[in-house]
Amino acid sequence: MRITNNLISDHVLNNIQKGMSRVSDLQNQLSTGKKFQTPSDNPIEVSRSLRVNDQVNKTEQYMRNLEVMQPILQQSDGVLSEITTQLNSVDTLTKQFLNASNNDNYELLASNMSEILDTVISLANSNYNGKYVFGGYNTSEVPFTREGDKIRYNGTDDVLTANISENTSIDVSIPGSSIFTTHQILGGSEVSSKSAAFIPEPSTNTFSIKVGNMAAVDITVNADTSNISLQDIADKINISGAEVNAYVKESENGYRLKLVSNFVGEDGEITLADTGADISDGLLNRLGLVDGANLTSGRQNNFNTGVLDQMVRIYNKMSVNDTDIDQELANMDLGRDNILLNYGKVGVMMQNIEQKQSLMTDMKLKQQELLSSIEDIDYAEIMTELNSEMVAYQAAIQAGARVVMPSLLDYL
Amino acid sequence: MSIVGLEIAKRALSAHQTVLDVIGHNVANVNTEGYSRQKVDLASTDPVSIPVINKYKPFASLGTGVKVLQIQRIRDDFLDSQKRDVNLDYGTWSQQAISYEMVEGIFNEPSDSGIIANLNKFWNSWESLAVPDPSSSGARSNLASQATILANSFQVTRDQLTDLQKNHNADINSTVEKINAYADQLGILNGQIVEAESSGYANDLRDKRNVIVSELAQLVNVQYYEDSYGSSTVAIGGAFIVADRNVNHLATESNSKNSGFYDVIWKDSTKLVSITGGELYGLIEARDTNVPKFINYLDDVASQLITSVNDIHKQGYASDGSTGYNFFSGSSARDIHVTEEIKYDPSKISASSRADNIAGNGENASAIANVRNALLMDSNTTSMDQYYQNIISQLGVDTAEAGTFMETNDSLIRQLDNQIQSMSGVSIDEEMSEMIKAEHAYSAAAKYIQVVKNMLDVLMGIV
Repeated sequence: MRITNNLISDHVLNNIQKGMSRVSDLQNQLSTGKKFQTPSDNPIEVSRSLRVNDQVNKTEQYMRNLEVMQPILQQSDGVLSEITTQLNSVDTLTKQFLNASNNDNYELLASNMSEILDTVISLANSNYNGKYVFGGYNTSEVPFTREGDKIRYNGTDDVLTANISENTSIDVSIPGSSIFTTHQILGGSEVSSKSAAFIPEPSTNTFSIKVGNMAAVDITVNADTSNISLQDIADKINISGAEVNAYVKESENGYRLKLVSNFVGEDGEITLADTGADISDGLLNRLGLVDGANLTSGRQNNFNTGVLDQMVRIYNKMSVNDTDIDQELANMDLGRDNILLNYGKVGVMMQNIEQKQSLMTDMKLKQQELLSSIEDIDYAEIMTELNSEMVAYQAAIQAGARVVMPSLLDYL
Repeated sequence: MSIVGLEIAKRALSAHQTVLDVIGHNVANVNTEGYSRQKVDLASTDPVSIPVINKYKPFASLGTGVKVLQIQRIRDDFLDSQKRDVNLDYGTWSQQAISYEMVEGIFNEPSDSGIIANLNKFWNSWESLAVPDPSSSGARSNLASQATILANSFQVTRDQLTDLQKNHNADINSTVEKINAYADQLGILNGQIVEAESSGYANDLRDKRNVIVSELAQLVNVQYYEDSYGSSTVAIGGAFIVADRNVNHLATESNSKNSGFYDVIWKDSTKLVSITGGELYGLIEARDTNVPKFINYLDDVASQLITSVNDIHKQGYASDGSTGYNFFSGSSARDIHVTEEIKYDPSKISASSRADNIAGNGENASAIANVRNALLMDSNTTSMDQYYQNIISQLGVDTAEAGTFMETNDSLIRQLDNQIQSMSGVSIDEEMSEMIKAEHAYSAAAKYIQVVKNMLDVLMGIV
């Protein structure tokens, strides 16, 4: 190939420019710490980095969601623990009241009872940052108000949830209605054994359980085919599909059937009714759960076993020195169980949050590692590259200076 | 006989003088763009017959010296036509590459201030409103301002893209003017070359014309023909823009069907010019295809955002229990706004799913936050976030592609330039050695004159 002067200087210039653009590219990477500045630098890696960035961003938000709910749950936890302590003092107080020698002091005991009641109500009304913890969605209104001998619940039955992934959210609160006012049925005659057969006649008994507005579920208990015990009845109810949980509850003189609604508020109202041919001799009637003459009025035994409600009843009886508070105390026990159950639930929620948080922290770390591997440069590598490019660049300049200068003219 | 010797010497002197002149001309133009080195073709003049004493062949043929046959321009027309092709592709892609780079700059991703970042902040604001306290006025006004920033960034991005289109439009106009100016020059040069070549080769004028045609080929798809008289014809899409000395100008006409942007037409016939390559084509492609593609993408995301958020928002309830508010107004990235109600009264943000007990109910806000994950775009296969990410990677691919084509053609141009330079460029070393050769030949001829003179002197001395 014939080489001309312009060709040489073009080549030199081109080489120097190439070297310079490589140096400037590396310089750019070093000063930003990123492998690419614009999408066209590396479209595939950029789109990966955008995707991972998006994930990191979402994870961060999910972590924030949990973080803001944590103190609220901690508050619920503290409050429930304090309430159980207060309920223990109710026990002491009622024992004193039932002890005949203390009966003279009933007015004092009643006023103590009233104080404890107020304390429990104010605990149930506790707030975090001015927002009531146990009000469901109604966080701006005091959840429980005492109106004479009734306690009104102003909140809703809703559970606050927090998103923890694209499709999952977890419960992060318990509405006051679930904790303090559960629909339960406990009553009727006591049975001496929970497993011994009883009630042989009539051979076939049917009754229905209706929860809220849902369709009534019919349950048939046939004494001919097997010996029916209280536990058998509870089991039959549990497999019947009715939205209640049936237990056999041990009481002072024997055992009673206990039904707990799966729902709260009006939706959880349980209605029991005998439906057999001879309803005046129905099973429930004989258990003392419903009044045989008035089958649809099962409601009368549908106590509100919420502790607050029962405390008001006890207080009312105390203040007139009425010691017939067995039913209320029994219901109080159920209410306390329910509070402990929810106390446990709060604990599980907190645990769940902590677990999810540590999971997400790990996840975020991994995502950030991935992100870093996608978009961050290896300084050592780039520095080395820059050094060798600088050497090449300088060599190009020096070679250019030597090649361009001489011509035959220098020797003529 | 010696008189003939003087004539031979004179011819040699003048021929080598010409050689030296051409060398001077070459060296003088060593840095002239498009210059082709010239070479003097020397040839011996016709011999004369002189009688000799030979029985069989009584006459001998005696040389009469040297003459300049022609001054040749060293050029390969094939390389020139190849370069025109490569220039055309370079022009097509360079304009698009530049345009794409501008689009990349406008989208400004990945960054902390691009639409992706603002979309993220927008969704996160909904999430933060939903838990723990949907009634918080802080969270509400934060959401309102994030939404305003987002709407604003959609608008600004779109405005900048339409501004870019307008710039391309203006560039199209100035490119057409440039093409017309080149056409005028070509017409004039054609005339000069035909005139000059009636007697010999118009080497330097041809070089000039070559440079202009080469530039023109970068601007628009031209076909170039030369005829045997030295004149040339330049056509675009089969119609003549330059034919010999006649020039048919291009013009621009605003097209109301295409946002008032310019069409390129023939000035005389007002017919559309068929443009298939070059910078002009690149600009038209960028203005009418590439940039609008990204404007449409942007509008897709914005309009989906507006309808999806509004649909859910309308079903929710504001702090005062009222309902049915739109969150965004507008229908595309051009006019997306946060509605006045929301902007000036964030309590109208409908975070609740029910009319009663609103304070703690963030279900609707949560539902809107979940829109980010909903597969709404591309016939329900991708989420808005993913769709937008795809836009950015599409932009990256397009930009990289245009850039690669531009660079490939750039290096092809460089290669061809090297080949052209190698063939037609001036090498000082070569010229110097030619100069030494010519100088020596000149001195030798001069010496020969002296010898002839001495011979004549001797002869005259006898007389």
